Amino acid sequence: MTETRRAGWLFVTPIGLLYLLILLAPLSYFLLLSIFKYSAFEMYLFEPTAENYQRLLFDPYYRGVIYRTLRIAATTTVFTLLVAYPLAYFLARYGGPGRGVLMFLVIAPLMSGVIVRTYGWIVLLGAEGTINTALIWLGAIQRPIQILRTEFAVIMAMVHILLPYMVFPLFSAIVAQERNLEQAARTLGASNLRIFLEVTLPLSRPGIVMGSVLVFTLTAGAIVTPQLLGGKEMKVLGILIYDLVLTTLNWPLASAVASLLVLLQFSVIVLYFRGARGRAAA
Amino acid sequence: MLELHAVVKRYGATLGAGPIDLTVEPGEFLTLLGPSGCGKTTTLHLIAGLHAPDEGRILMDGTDLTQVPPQRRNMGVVFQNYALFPHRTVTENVAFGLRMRGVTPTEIASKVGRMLDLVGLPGTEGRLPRQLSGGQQQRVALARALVIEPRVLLLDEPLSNLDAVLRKRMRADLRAIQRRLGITAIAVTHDQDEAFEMSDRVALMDQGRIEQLSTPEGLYDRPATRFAAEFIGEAVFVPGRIGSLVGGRARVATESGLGFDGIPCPDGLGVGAAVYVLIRPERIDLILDDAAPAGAIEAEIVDRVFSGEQVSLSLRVAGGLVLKAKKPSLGRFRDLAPGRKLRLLAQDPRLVPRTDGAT
Amino acid sequence: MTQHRSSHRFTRRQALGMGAAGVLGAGLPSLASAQAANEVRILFAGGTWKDWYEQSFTNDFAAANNVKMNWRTGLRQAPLAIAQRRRPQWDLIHINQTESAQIGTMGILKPFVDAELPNLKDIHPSFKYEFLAGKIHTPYGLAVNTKRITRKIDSWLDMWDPAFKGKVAFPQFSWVGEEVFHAVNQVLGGSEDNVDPGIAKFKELFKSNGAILGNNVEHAIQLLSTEEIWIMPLFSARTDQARAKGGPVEFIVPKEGGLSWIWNTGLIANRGKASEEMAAKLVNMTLDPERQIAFSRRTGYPPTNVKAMKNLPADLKKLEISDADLEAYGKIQRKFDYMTMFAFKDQVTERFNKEVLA
Repeated sequence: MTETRRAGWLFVTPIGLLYLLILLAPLSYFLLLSIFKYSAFEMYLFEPTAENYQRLLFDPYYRGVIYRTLRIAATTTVFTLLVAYPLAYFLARYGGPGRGVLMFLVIAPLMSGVIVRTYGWIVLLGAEGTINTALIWLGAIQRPIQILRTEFAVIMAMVHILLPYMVFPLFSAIVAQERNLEQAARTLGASNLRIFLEVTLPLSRPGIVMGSVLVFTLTAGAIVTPQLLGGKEMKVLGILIYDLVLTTLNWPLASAVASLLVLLQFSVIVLYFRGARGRAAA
Repeated sequence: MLELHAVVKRYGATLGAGPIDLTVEPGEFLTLLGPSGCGKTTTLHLIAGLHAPDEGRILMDGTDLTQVPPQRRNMGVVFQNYALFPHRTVTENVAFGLRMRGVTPTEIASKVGRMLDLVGLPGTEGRLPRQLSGGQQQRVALARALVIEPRVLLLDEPLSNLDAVLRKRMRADLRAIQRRLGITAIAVTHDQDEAFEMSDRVALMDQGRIEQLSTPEGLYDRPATRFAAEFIGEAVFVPGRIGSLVGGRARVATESGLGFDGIPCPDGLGVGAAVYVLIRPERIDLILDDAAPAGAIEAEIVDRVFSGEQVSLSLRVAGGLVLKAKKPSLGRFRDLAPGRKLRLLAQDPRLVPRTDGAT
Repeated sequence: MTQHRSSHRFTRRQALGMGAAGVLGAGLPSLASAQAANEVRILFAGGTWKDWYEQSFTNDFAAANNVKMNWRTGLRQAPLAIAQRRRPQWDLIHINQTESAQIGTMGILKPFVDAELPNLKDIHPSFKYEFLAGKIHTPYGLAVNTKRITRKIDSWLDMWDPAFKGKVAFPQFSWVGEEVFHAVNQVLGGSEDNVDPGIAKFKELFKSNGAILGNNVEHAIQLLSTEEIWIMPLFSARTDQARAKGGPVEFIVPKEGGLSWIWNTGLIANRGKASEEMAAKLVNMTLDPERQIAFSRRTGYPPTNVKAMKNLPADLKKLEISDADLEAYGKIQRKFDYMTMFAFKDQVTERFNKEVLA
């Protein structure tokens, strides 16, 4: 082993230890806890059991929660991408005073807490909220329509809240592209649409992958927004863990849910990156 | 035939290029030569349609192209950094323009294959640009631009990213391919050697305008301005005035007291006009024996630089003026050393107008 | 109050961290207990509740005893105490009577005894539990929009009136919903280990009468003040706050009996003599009549010390509660078997989620 190699290891040691402490230790803790038997008074008994996972995977109720979580995460990812792409493209390609303002507007949501933003959506979407009031005033509807406590409301708010996580990876990917690739495509006879589909979009792939992974995992683990905007039917894995840990105090089951969530998120990350690499090498 | 009529491009308040008038003949290889910022790349982009001119018109075989977008101009462009699509293979890069034109896959395959043969790249079909050397990338870019059978091939500093050896070879290859296809080509470069070796004609540009448009020989032999003379090759400029004019030949008295006779006088200069006498180092004859031809000048060697195949000599003549001479580093020139007195004869001196204050 | 749960963003990582604290805590010596008590380590709720608590008690306490208050604020502190039960790191935990009974039985809390808490003898018996005695109590009943609802409301079961369809809210289990559910279940003849009557009835409330869940205090106040909801179980003082925000609501004690929570800090066991004594001293201060009156004035909730109750100043007379009312508040809740409730917590919660909410 060379000197530089050893020095390199020295550099990653602190972060390695930190990871071990804040990631691996809790991870192994709840992985272990998830195979113990639940007991109301003892928290858990040192009796290995598969019942926590069985309950989770074979009970239609919990399966429904898993599907709902994945569905919301996937839909949110797609819509965030659709909203973020034009925005990132504009930010990456156009200068002028508007760019600074827009950049600020994209970052601004990060400056207020997720609760504040979620309450903002409640004000907007409620039966007496801005949207319903406006629609009634315009004569589009007679009575307030139910927007709050729907999956739609959760997804819309998640798209808004997570937008910066998608915009910035996309922005970096678009800004990194050589501008004259588009010029080259143009001189070769490509229309604007073809240039976008054949050059700009494929070269944005790293940003799309990174942004989607971020948005998907953050949505899959979200608690506050689904809780406040989704209502009672909108139970997702994050809320399930929260309730099991804090209220029901069934930590073994909570650990099983958490393990499953981590596994799902991890699989999505691996699949996504593998897909990205596969295409790049093709 | 490509024509530019009084084309002007401005970037805000600053002039990018223009007004430019230029006609490029079919099958001609024309190079826009000039220092950076002279407007040569802007002119190329105006022809490609990547910039829209603020004034003037661009015509191709009589059709006005000024408002035609680049994707419908059918110009093949090779960019300075090649602009190859990094996510596509060599084949896919070359096939791109054909696909955009709706050519059938079979035809694309055969055309791409033939083009890769032409540029000397068989066997690289499945590779990505980043897996190729700079020279190979250059050839892919060329193939991609040529395969669409463009009306004009536009080359933006095509060889500037290559090393010296490769650059020399590519100049010849580029010229050969262009001749073989009989295609009109316009290149942009700041390298005089490159321009001279590849081109039928060279447009020397400065500050957005064409300073002189001529064959390489014409530019070298008859530079219209001091800028042209300085940019093309090496020269010493001796300030003086036209003393008399006989049959288009001038007699010039220089400020340092030298006299030159029988220099061809460019149009527009009369007796008394301030001029530079332009003397090229490679056109100075050194007289090492006792011969004394007419016009020979006494000189003393003050400096010598040996650079392999050549020796460069600095020669002081009457009035303290120092001329330069370049000689092959062999035989009698090789051992000339500072302090040696001899005579010299400046062959083919030229006159360029002097506009720097002297009247 | 500890009920504004969702205003604290509890992330998965924190939950993990908590678990890690438990694991690591088990292997570390209890540092704090080795020292003389120069600080009081307290698990508490955040927000205005903490401000009021500091102004009424701990600011003076810290100065008088030359100790530093070391806070960890958040909602639902019990899980942390449970995680650390082998190596407790905190002296006091803000908690209600239900949780105190549950984690007390697990050996996490010390009982409240007169020997350590001289003021305990003056606390009304209704607010004394084995592991906790209230500094105030929080009457709980129905918040009713009297502008929209003109008929007389006097029962928990009035929430099932079809006229209020879509206008009813019920607190989440993770807020106080679990206890309210058990209360209604018992009114309907069920018990802690037989929740069939409650489940069937609440299924009706959510499925037929379109009830929604109230997440926390802020959510409840917002629902009532915007009139999105006309009737829901709520605390008396929080109903007043919703009215102050423009909701035409009144607080009503159902005839089957209201509910009441007492809130105080439980004494965490095995913290060492010095720390435990200092913590007890602070708890005793919260049972002091004068201090309780000051706290009542800030919170709008009635005191628990009999001397304070009898000597309420004129501006607080409205908080006075007769013995009959006290009896009414305790009617259902005092019969609660907290341990059975705890033992069936997991099953009841799951049934509620699956059968009522899903």
